[in-house]
Amino acid sequence: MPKSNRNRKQFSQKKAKVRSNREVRSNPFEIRINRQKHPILGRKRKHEKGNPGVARSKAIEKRKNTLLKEYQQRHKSNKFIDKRISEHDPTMSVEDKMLERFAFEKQKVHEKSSIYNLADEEEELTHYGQSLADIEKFEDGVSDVEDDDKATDALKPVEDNIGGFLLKKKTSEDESEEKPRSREDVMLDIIANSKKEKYERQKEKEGALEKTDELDKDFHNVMHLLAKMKSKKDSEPKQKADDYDITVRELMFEAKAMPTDRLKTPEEQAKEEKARLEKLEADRKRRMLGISEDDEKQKARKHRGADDLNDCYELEPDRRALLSYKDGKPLNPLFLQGAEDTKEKEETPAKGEDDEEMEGEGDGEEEDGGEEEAGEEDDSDMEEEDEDENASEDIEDLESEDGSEGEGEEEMEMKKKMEELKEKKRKKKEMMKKAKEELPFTFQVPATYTELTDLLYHHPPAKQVTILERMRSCNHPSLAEGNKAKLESLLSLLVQYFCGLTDEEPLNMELIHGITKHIYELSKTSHIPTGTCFRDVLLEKYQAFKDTCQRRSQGIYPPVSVLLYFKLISLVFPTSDFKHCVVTPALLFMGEILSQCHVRSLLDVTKGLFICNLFLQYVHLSKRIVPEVINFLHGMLFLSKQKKVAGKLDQVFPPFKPVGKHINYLVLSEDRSESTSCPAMKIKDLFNFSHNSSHLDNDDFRIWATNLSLSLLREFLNMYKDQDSSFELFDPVRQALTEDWINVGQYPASTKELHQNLLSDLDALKGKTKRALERTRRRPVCLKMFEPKFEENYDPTRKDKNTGDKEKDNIRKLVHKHRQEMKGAARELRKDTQFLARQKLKEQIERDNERKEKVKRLYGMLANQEGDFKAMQRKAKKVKF
Amino acid sequence: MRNGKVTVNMAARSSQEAELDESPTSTKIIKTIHEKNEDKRLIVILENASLETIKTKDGFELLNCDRLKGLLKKHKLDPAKYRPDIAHQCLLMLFDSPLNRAGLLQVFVHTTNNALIQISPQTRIPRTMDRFSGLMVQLLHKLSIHASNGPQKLMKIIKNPVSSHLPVGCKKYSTSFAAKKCVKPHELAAGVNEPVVVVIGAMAHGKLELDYTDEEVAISQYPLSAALTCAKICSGFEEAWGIH
Repeated sequence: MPKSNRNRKQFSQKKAKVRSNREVRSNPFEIRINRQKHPILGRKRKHEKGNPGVARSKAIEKRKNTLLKEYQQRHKSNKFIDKRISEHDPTMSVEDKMLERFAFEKQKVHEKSSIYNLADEEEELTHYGQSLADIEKFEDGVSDVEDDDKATDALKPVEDNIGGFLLKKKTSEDESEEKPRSREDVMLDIIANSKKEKYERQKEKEGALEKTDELDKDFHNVMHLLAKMKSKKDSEPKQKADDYDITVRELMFEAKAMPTDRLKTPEEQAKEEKARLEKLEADRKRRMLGISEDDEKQKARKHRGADDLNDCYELEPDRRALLSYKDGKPLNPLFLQGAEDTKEKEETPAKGEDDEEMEGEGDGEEEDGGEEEAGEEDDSDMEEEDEDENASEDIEDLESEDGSEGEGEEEMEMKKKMEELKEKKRKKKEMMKKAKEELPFTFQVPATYTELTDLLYHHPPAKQVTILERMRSCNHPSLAEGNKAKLESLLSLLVQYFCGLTDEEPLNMELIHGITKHIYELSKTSHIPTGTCFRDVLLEKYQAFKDTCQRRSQGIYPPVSVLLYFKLISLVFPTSDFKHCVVTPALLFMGEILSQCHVRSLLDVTKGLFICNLFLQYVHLSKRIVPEVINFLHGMLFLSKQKKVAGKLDQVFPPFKPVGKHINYLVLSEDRSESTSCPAMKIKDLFNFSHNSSHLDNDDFRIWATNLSLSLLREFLNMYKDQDSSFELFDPVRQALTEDWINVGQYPASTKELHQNLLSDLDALKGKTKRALERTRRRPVCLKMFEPKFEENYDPTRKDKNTGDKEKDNIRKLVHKHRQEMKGAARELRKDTQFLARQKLKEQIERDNERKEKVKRLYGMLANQEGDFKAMQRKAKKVKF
Repeated sequence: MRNGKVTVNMAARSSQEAELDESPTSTKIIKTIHEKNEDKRLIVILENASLETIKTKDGFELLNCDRLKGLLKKHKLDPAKYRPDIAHQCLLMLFDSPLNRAGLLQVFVHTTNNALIQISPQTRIPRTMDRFSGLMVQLLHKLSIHASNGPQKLMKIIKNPVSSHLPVGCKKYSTSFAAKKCVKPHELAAGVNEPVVVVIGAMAHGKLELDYTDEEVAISQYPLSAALTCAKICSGFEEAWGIH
């Protein structure tokens, strides 16, 4: 009854609270709605609504319970703690609290008194920690069932008799009894079953074994009959494998496609190449010393480490002979010889004649080889050779001794061995000789020009090229740190060497080609050093050219080396660039030569034509106009003109002059119209004998020069065909051709043809229409467009994007959290102080009021007193009067 | 503000010079065209553009009748009203036109949610709808979009009403199929040497009800799509002002 009462009360309280809440919520004056500035559909927000009134009152309540309490007890050292039961439970009513306290009180008293109260409670009896009552109730399962069965049996007739209305109940009871057939029983069952099965299986197995034994016995009886039959079958010939089978087998065992090794990187290739060369060098040195590869191996094998276990897997048996004697003689003379060898070594200068001879030989070889091997090495070689010689002598001595002794078989054997030894020696010598002639395989990059020339000078061209090749592969940039710088210095040395070579006479074209190849390849690895090196050399050459020109106060064609240097530049650098730090100066230099140098010899003609040819090479891609070339070729035509009329001067442009002794260089001396072959010239032939051009003074050369000029003109014409000014550019040439400067009748047919073709090409230019001059077209400038910056998956809720650094993100998060907490705490503290201030004010007002009241009361009292006093005074007066 | 005006004037001048100037690499940056700028230009206002953000489980998206059918149904919204593709097409037409390249076009977009967007003539509108949607979502949330390779703002949400951003005293046309007066687009620009405002509805159905326009015109006897209207008007103005 009291409980239900309590419940009801609680319920009513709750209901009241809910009602008040609902009232508050529905009251629009209590609710504050936070307006959304940019509403987004489907977005749930946390703080759409708020009820500040409720929140404030809650906060005040909380402060009253906590802060206010503290405030009130701030000067108190003791504290009163209310420990009454359920005093702080607001859900309980006063009655409930009282009841609870009463019950507690009762129980306390009861507990204390019950110790002595024996009859009040039954003692529980236990067996093995189990209550006996329980044991009585749930007896062993099996017995239980039996008992129940018995019980049911006993009941059965009764049931039958009484119509069985109890049966249903009973069966259900039965089931309920059977159901808890405990786990133990089930396990027992299973164990029994499995044992039984096991036994059966064993039996079966035994039976089977017996049967097989019997069968075996029977089989023995029959076996010998069967054996005969089998042997017949075996005797049948086997089928021979035919081709098909064989191929199938072969295919079956054929190696499958294997994965190939990956391609090697350039560094690896360089490393391998270096290793190869180093090995070759080592071999060469070894061979020079006369050590064969087998010797080396043996030597290597013979060495044993200190920690050798002496049980290593020796691949070759140790064939070192032991010194053994038979009848007071050494069995193996080789051994003896070796021993003597060593003895000889100790006392070297023995046989004067032989030594001298050998020295002579050695010197000869050195001269033959002509290589820069260290002197020491040679010495050591010679020493060894000496030893060998000595050794052979010793052997001979031995031989003679042996002969005198006259032992049959042993002697023969010995002789054989001697011969073998000799053969070996000879081979060794040959090998050494070869090795001496051979080039070393590794080279250091020379530091100076003289070193380079020393290194290369004595070798034939092919070997020089090989030396360079080996030098480069030994010092590949990928092999060591400073190799690139070394190769750069090598390049500049090579350019110098090239210049030196081209200055020489006669020209060694083979070597020039070889070196050009190396310069080209070296230039590919380092561009800027190559450029500066080439430019410096070019500047040097230009300075030299200028100096000679100034000295002679007229243009002089530079030496052949300059021209070949131009050629080298065209090979090493791209000539079609609009501006190039080497090619552009070279072009200007060439143009200057053509426009300023006077043709004063046939060699100059050759040089000029060579430069024209170079120009063609330089500009064939860029199609830059070079007026110097056209002018020079025009001059060439003039040189080949038969000048008849003395009075009229032909129009030629400087550096050519219409009069002078040099104007008839290319005029044919006789009619060559019959000759069919067109002469061909080679650079080597043309440029040799640079100081004497008499070898060029023949009609063959003139025809060749004229032909070359014509064909060059044609090439240039083809190149400049598309230029607007092409007609004007070639107009002097056209006039010269139409005026028959070249008397075609005297030239071979090929010249005629060239002449004809050139003229027709030039005439074709004539009819070309030209575009009128116009201002360049302008296009209105359109606005520059900008790409807007935005994220693909923009999420406005995530303010801080992950920077990718986990630690940084964490720190940022923590900082943010800290700031938030800080703000919250500050706000709470502010509110606390406000609350306390309010509280203090309240107390102050209270105290003031109290005091006022007191003062008032006192005043009242005093007033009364005064009144009384006055009244008494008045009375006294009255009495007086 | 003053600073902005100076740059704009300079920009406008240089845009005229640009036609004479030969250097093709002059790169100028137009921030915005000021409302007090009285140079001749076409101002297009796309009204009733349905650019609205919605929060889905995949994040924030532009409300689109094709992709978000279920959500529209859930919120009981009419799918026919949510067609951001119309605004996209219109913007593509406008910003690709030579008129814009010549710097004689200014565009405002007014959405159904009453957000007013000003777009710089130098904006390259994203070509695909997806990217455009992403851009718009970000714009509507951040209220401005910067250029990816420059400091200037390309798009920003500005204060309503749009009439406060229009030059004073210029002619303001609104386009409608239902208008009584039918004109050729170039007639609107013929002989005019001041800004002209044309309002085009970027919605699927309905008619514009505007209070700031002077005149309602039709540019065809047939109903036209918004994008085509934009294209036609641009080409008409190009024809009239000699931009090829």
